Amino acid sequence: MADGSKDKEEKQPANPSSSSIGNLSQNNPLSRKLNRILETRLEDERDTIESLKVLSEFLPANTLHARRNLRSDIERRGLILSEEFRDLLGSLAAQIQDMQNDVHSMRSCCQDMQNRLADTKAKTAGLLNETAELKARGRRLEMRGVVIDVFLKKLQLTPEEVGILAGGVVGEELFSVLHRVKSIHEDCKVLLRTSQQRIGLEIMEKMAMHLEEGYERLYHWTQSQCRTMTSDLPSSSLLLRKSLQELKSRPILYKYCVDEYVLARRSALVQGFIDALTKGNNGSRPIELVSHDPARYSGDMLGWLHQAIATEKDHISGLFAEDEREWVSNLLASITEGAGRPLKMRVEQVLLSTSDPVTSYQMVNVVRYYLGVFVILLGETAPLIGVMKELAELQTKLFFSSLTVQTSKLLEEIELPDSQLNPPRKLMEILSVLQRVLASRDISVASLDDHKTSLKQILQTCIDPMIHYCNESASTLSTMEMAVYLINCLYLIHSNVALYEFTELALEKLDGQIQAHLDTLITEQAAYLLGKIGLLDSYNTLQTGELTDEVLAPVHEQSKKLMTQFFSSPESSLLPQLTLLTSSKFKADAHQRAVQLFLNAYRQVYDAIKDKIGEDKLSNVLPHSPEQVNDLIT
Amino acid sequence: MASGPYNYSYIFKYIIIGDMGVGKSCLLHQFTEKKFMADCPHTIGVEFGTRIVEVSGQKIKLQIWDTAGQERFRAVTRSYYRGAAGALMVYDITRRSTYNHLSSWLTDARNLTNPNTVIFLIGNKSDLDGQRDVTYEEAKTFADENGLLFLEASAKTGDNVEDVFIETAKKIYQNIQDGNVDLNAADTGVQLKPSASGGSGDRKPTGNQSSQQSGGKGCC
Ligand SMILES: Nc1nc2c(ncn2[C@@H]2O[C@H](COP(=O)(O)OP(=O)(O)OP(=O)(O)O)[C@@H](O)[C@H]2O)c(=O)[nH]1
Ligand SMILES: [Mg+2]
Repeated sequence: MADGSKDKEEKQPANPSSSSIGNLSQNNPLSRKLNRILETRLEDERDTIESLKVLSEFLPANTLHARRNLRSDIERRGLILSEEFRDLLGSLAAQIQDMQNDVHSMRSCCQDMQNRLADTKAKTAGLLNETAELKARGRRLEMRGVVIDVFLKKLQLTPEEVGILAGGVVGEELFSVLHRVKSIHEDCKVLLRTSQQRIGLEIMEKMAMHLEEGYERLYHWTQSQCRTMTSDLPSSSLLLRKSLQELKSRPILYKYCVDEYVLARRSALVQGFIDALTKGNNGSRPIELVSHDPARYSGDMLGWLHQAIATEKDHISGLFAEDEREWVSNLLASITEGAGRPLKMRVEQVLLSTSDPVTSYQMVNVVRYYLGVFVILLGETAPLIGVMKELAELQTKLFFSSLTVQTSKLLEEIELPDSQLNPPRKLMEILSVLQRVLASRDISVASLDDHKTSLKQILQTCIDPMIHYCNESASTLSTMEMAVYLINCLYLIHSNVALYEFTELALEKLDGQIQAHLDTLITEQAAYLLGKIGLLDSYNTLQTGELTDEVLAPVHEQSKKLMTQFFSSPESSLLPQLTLLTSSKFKADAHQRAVQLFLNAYRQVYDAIKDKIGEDKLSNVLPHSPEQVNDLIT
Repeated sequence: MASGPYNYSYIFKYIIIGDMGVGKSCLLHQFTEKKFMADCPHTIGVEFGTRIVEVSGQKIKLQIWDTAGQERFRAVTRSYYRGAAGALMVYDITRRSTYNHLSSWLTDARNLTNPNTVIFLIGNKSDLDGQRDVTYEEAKTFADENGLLFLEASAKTGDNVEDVFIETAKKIYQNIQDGNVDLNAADTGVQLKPSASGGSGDRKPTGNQSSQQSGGKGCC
């Protein structure tokens, strides 16, 4: 064996001293070998050293025997070792076999597992797909969740909001919920244009329901608020105003609230009115205290109402924010309705106890004034206006009847004219009543036409009986006296009436009558003058026909004398009655016109005589030419 | 909405009196419309105007009754003195006769209003200083002697117009604060407007004298 050979080779150098002479023959293979061995450095050959050490064990003593047996020892030992080795390997092989078995079983296990894994894997793939799908679906759902959330937030009420609609105090929240409900309702219309009509309709229906509920609540609250507005100055809040604004979109509910308000205000106004009349709160004098002064009394009542109406109007426009005039008027008309009765009662009461036409006329005017003012505020058809019109009518009627009564009472007994032909004293009394009536017209602001109509009636009521009275009392007088007397009476009436506006018609009539009487006077006066110079007969004859000699004869005899007499002092030739005219203007006027008439007559007679007897003989009969006469008497 | 025309806590009633043509209607117009009405017709009976002013932080509605100066309307106008919190008595500084009549207007005002009524004397047409017929000093003395507030004003230029209306309101308000005016009394021409701001939370400006405000029965 290799090991054995080596052992042999190495054994040689172990005895270097024995071969040191070998160096001499280099070329000898043995020597080369020896050299090589000698050159070997033992320090570097550890293996060799190790081997040698081991070998030394085999050789306990370097005996020949030992050396001879070395090889077999070694071989025996090798054998032993190999046997040991074989044994060992045998067990190893068994173990390996075991292991192989284990590995086998492991491998089958693994195979199994692998199979199972493959199996599972195949199965999991489906799951994974499913999961991915689910995840995607999850995301989509999440998205939808958000959308639905937004949708709900936008199109549904929160439970709190529903709660607010259903109960609790009426406040800002209710309005905002209502607005939300409305806007949701509005927004749902968009849905109707999409494929989501059904949900749109459903939500709209629901919102409509909510809205009704909300309005119902608002309505009940507002109505009860309105119902309590019975204080003299109703409290009204911004909230109430807002509620009413809101309710305007529910006209019927709104109307009920307005009705409630009107009812409350109506009773408040009546109560306030009664209080003002009877109690006149704290220190203020009750209006009824002036009931002794009927005009003032009715004025104060109506003035109070005017102010109350103004306040109510203000309140209405603030509370309801309605601008339409007629709407406000109607409300005011309704609110003031209750005041009509107490007003009517009181006015009638004082009216019936008033016999003085002046007072009742003042009352008429006051009521008429307020009628004008109130019609603008309340409208023609307001109940209060109706009451006032009735009152005005009644007052007017009573006024005229009291005026008639007073006039006729005064004129019951006919008073005979005095010698001066002055107007009767009773005339003055009636005129003073008339004057006071006409003066009190000044407070009225009735329309001009109304005023003119009533004025005409007033004048008629007074003037006609007066004239009638004058005529009666003049019945015993001569024509001249009668004319003068009547002119004096008419003139007195005229000058009284002339102080007032819109009396032209009456004045014209009076003037006409005065002129008629003046004409009578003038004719009388002219005739009187003609008589004075003896020409009256001639003149009268001339009016009917030709001048005859019989008529001319007296002219011949007397005219010269008479004329001389007359023309020496023509002013004394005034009829005595004419001087009794109270109006100097009429006096002068009558005189003037009488003279004119006289002159005309004179010229007629003069011309006629001139034609009859010729110009040359004329101076014997009528010495004065018309021009001369004119100069003499004017 | 809070600044709407309804947000006030008192109503003060005023009456404007004085001879015809002194400029009563023009003063009212200037105050409510801030304009001068050059050819204003004579007032028939009474006219009416309102404006909200602020005094000591309180919104007050002035309800102003402008009366006719013409004698023939006295039967109507005298019914409006009742319950006025303020009386503006106007004369024309260029027409002495309108000043001379003041004592009769004052007598009316005193007899027909109540003792707390604030009377403010106004010498109107102060823009016509050149045609002045009544001196400031003379009128001032008259006002002082009679315990009247006094200012000269011009409805034409608007000079002092705002002041007379607001000074009157201040004085009335002060009377209320001092407890001189019983808000229960209808004739004071002052009405408390309860809770203009909302709900049932009544605002009580002076505490002790506003008990009537809700549900108080009284005339206005
Ligand atoms: N220059 C001037 N003119 C004024 C002033 N105020 C009023 N007027 C004029 O005076 C006239 C009468 O004014 P109104 O306001 O009608 O007088 P009033 O007091 O209301 O008169 P009645 O209604 O009849 O009582 C008008 O023509 C106005 O133009 C003023 O301050 N200055
Ligand atoms: Mg005026």
